[in-house]
Amino acid sequence: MWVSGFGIQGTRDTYVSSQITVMHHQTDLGRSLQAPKPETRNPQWHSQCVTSPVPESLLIGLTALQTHKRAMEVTSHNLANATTPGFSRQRAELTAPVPEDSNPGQIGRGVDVDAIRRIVDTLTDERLRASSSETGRLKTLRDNLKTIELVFNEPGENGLSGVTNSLFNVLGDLSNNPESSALRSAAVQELQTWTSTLNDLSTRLDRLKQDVRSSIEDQLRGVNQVAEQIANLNQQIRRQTLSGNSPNDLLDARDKLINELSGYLELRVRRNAGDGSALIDAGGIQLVGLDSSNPLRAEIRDGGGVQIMTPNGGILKPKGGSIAALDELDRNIIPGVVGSLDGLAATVAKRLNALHATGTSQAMNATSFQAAFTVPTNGLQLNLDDTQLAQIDGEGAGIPPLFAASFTDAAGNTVARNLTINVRDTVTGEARKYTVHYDPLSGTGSRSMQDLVSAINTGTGGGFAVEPTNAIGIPGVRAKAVAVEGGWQFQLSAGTNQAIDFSPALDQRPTNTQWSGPQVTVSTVAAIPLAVGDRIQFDVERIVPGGAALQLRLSTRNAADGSTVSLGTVALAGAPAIVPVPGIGGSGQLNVDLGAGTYREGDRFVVDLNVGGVVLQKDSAVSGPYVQPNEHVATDAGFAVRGRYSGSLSLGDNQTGTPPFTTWSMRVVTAGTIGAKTSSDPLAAQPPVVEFSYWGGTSASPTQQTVRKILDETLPAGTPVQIADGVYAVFDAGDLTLTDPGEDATFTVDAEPDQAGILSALGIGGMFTGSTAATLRVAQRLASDPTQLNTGLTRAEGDNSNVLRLIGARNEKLYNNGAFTLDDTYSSILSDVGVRINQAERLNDNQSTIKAALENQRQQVSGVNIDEEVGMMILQQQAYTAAARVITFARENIQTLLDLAR
Amino acid sequence: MDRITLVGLNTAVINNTQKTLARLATYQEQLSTGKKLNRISDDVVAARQSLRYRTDENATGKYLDNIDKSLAYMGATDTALTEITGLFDQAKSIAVQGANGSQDANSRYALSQAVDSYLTRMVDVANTVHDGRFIFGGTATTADKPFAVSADGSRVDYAGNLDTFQVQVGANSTVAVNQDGYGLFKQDVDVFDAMVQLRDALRDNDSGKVAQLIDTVDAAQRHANNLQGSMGGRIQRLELSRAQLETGRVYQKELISQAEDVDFTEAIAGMQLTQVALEAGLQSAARTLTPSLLDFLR
Repeated sequence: MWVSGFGIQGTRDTYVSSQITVMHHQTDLGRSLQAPKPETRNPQWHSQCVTSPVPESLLIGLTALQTHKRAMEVTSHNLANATTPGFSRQRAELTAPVPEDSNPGQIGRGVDVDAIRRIVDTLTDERLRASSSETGRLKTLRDNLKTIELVFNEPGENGLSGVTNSLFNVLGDLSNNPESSALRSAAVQELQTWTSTLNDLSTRLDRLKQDVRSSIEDQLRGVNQVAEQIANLNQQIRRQTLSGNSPNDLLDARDKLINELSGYLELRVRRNAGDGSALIDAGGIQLVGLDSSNPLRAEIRDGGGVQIMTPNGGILKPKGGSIAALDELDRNIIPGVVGSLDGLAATVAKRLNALHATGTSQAMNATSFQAAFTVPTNGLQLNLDDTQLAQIDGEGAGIPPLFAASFTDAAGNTVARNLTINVRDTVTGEARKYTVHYDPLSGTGSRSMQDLVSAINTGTGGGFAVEPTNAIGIPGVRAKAVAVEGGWQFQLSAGTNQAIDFSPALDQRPTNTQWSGPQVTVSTVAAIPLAVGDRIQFDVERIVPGGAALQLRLSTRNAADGSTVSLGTVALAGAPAIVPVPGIGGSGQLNVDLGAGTYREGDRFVVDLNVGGVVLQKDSAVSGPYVQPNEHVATDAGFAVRGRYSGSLSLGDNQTGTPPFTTWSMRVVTAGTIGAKTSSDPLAAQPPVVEFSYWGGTSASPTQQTVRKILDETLPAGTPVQIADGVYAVFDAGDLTLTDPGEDATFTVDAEPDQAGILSALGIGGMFTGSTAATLRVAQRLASDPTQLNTGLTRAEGDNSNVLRLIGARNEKLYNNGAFTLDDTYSSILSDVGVRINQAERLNDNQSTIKAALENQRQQVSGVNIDEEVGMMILQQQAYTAAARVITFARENIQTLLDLAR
Repeated sequence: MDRITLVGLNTAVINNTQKTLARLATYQEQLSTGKKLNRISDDVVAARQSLRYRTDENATGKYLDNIDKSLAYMGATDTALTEITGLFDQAKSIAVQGANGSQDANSRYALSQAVDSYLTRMVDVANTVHDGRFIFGGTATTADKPFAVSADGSRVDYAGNLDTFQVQVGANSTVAVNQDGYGLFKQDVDVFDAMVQLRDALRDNDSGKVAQLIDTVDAAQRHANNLQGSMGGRIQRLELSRAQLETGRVYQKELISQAEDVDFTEAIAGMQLTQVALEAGLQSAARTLTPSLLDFLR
C-alpha cells in the first residue's frame, strides 16, 4: 500500500487546489482532539514567476523556499494531529511547473505545491462504517439483554425458581399437616411472595422497556444533532469544493461524524465527487441532504411499538446500529419475554384456580362468590365458550382466551357437561349436591351466563338444567349477573346458614329417606276396582303458600307389570280435612285425611293394598281407616353419603340410554333394625340388608355394579359402610323397611365438579385473580382469610388431597402444548435470554475484532507515523536550507553583477 | 509491509490488554464466588441443568422430609399395635385363668374387671394421638375420638372415616401413611369384640364360654400381629425409598455442583496463565510505545 519516500499511493480523495493550510494557534482542549478548521489564504506566489530581470535561480530558490515552508506546515499539521481521532494524514504534493522553453533546452521554473492531498482509503472507511453499525447494534443488544438477565436474578434463591421451590415446600408441609392453620397462613404468604415476584419481574421488564424507549428518543436526539452537523459541513464542503479548494480537515470531520452516526443507524452514503457533498440515507429515509438534515422523532403507537418518524410522516425502519437493537428489544425481545411470562402466569393461574375452586375443607364456608372476570356488555347472551368473550389487549372486560370454558370434545362436537354445586347447611354440616347439567340437545342448547343464572334460579336455562330436577333451581342459592363497569359479573350467594362449594365431597343426605311428616289416613267409602298388591300413590305437587291447601296428584300402579296410571290432580283445602276423592278406576271413592303437620312439595304417600293386614278386596266396600301411607323410600332410618369418588370412570360422560353415571342409588333388600345381630329367632330384630347400585369401570366400558351390605352388629349406626371407590354411607340408628321397586334412594356422586371449566372462565373460587404476570394476585378471599385455602376434596379436617393435587400441578405438562412443566417453561424463558446474550456476545466479539482490524487498516493508510513525519521534516528542512542557499548564491551572483557595474 | 502508526499500536495494545483483563476478571469472579455459573449467559446449558437439578434436589429434600414425618406417624401406629398385642397377651392369660374350673364367680368377676380395663386401654390406644391427630380416624383426625365404647358397654363403635392420608414420596408416587381404624380393628376380625365377649363371659361366670373365647382372643391377637407385620413392611419399604432418595440426593447435589461450582485448580491455573500474558503484554507495550525517531535526534 505504501511506497516509501514522497511518493503517494492510495485512493485519491480530492486534491488539486491552490490552497494551503495554515494552522490556527488556538488549541481546542474541550473534547477529543480535532484539527481546527483551516484558514484559507489566497497565494499569489504562484503566478509571480514571470520573465524578469531577476536571475532565474533567485526565483527558483524563492519557489523552493516557499514550497518547502508549506510542506513543512503540512508535516507539522500531521504531527500536531498524530493522535487526533479521525484525522487523515495529508501530503503536500510537489511538482516541477511547466518549464520555460529556452535554447538550448528548457529552463526549470522551480517547484510548486500541486495539491495538499488527504490520504484515505474510502473502501476501508466504508467497511469501518458498516462495522460501526453492527458493533453499535450488537453492543446495545448485549447490554440490554444482560439487564433482562439481571432482572431474573437467576441462578439464586431469590429468583422465581427459588421462590417457586419455597412455595411448593410450604405446600408440602401443609400436605403433611392440613389441620394446621399456621401452615395455611404460611402457604398463603408464600403464594403472595410468588405472585409478587412474578409481578415484580413484569414491572421491571416493563420499566426496562420504558428505558429502551427513552433511549431511542435520546439516541434520536443524538442522530439529529450529528445529522445537522453533517449537513452544515456538507454546506461548507460544497462551497469550498465548488470554488476549487480541497477542504481536507472538513472532510475528516465529516467522515468522523458519519462514522459516529453509523453507530446509531446503518447508513447508505452517496458521495458526489463533483461538489464533495455526501447524501446519507438510513432505512429508506434521507437523513442528510445537500445542506439540510431530516430530524427524526419517536412516536409511541397504540399497539405499543415505537415508530421512528420524519417530519413529513415517513417511517424509518432501522436496520443496523444501536437504534435497530433498541427497536428490536422494544418490538420483539422484551414483549417476547413478557409474553412468555404472561403465558406462564396464566397457565399456572388457570390450573391452580380450577383445582382450588373444586376443592373444599372443613373451614370452607363461602356464602358468596364474585366473579374475577367480567363478561363484556354484549356477552350476557353469548355462549360461555364463545370466542367473542375473549379479553381484548389484556385489559378491561372479557375472559382471557386461555381461561375460556369448553363445551366441546376433542373432535369439536358440543358435548354434555356438568357443574356441581354443593349447598351445605353450616349448622348441621349436611350438604345437598346439585348438578347444573348442560345438554346440547335440551332446551335451546345455548350456554350463556344468562342461561346459567336462569338454571340456578329456576331449574332450567338454555341447555342447562339442574339435577335433581327442581322447579326453584338450586334451593338456597341465588345467582345474579351484576352490571359492572364494562360488562357483567357472575355472582352466587347462599341463604342464611348455607355455604357453597364445588367439590366432589359427598356430605349429603339423600332426600326423603327419613320420614318426619304427618301421618295421612286413607279410607274407602266405595268399592275400589284394584287388585291385591296394587298401589295408590299421592304426590304432593304444590303447596299453596301458607300451607293452607295442597294439590295432590293421584296415580295407581299395577302390581303385575309395574305400570303407573295417572288419575289426575285434586286440590285439598286445609288440613286436617276429610275430602272425598272421586274417580279412581272410574267408580271408587277414597277419603284422604291429612294429619296435622307440615307437607312438602315432592312428598309422596303410597297405599299398598296388602299392607297393614287388611286386604282391600276388589269391588268390595270397606269402611274405616285401614292403612297409613308409607313414605315412598320406606326407610325410617336416614343415611348420609360421605367421602368422595376416587374411581376411574369419568362420571360426567353420560351415555344415551343409561341413567347418568353420577346417579347412584340405595335400596333396602331386607327390612330390619340397623346394628341388630343376625338371629334365627323369627321374633328377634334382624339386621337390614341394603344394596347400593353404582357405576364402575371406565368411560369406554361403564358397567352398573351393585354392592350388598348387611347392616348387622359389625356395621352399627354411625359406622362408615364402604360402597365403592372412596364413597361410603353412614346410617342413622333405626329401622329400615323395604324399598318399593323403582323407588330407590338416589344420590349424586361426581368426580369432575366442573367439566366445562365454567368456574375458571368466570373466575369463581380461584386461588388467584388476574391472568398476566403483571396482574396476578392471590384471591382476596384467601389473602384475607387463609383458612379458606381448600386443602381437601372432602370436609374431613385431615384431608390433604387437594394440596396434593396443587403440588402435583407443578409436574403437569400444561405448557407449550403439553410439552413442558412449569419449571421447564421458566427455564426455557431464561435460556432463551441466555442464548441471545451468548449470540450477541459472540457476534460482538467477532465484530469488535473486525472493527479493530479495520481501524488498524485505516491507521495504516491514514494514520500519522511520527518517525516518518519527522524524517520528512528533516528532508524538508534540508530542502528549505538548500533553497535558502540557492537564494544566497543568486544574491551573490547579483552582487557580483552589481559590483561589475560599479 | 504494514505501515505502523502510534495510534494503531496504542489501540492494539489497549484492545489486547482489555481482552486479557476481561479474562482475568472472569477468573476473579469465579474464584471469589466459588461459582462458574453466576448468571444464565455464563453457560446456558449448565444454567438449565442447574435449575432443574436444584428443583429436583429441593423436591427430593421435601420427599425425605415427608418420609421422616410419615415414618414417625407409622412408628406411632406400630407402637400402638405392639401395645395392643401386649394387652392381648395379658387378656389371653386371664382367659386361661378364667377357664380354669377352680375359679369361682367372684374371682371371674375380678378377672372380668381386669379385661374391661384392658379393653379401655385398647380403646385409648386405638384413639392414639400423634402430632395432634388421631392416627386411626382416617382423615377425621381432630374432631371426635374415632373409637368409643357404646353406652351399654357391649360394643366399640367407630366414628372415623375410611379415607387414607396420602403423602408424596416421589414426583409421581404417594403412599398411604395411615390405616383407618375400621380396617384395622373392625373389618374381618372385630378386635374389640373379642375382648367384650371375654369380659362378659367372665362376668357371667361362664367358664365354658371363656374356654371357647381363648381361640377368639388368639385370632384377634393374630389379626393385630398381622397388621403390625404389614405396617412393618410398609415402614421397611418407606425406609428403602428413603435410602434411595438419599443416594439420589447426593447425586443431585453433585450434579448441581458440577453445573455451578468452579474447578479451583483449573481456575487458578487459568488465572495465573492469564496474569503472565497480561504482564508480558504490558511489558512489551512499554517497550514498543516509547521510542520514536525523536529520541535519537540530537
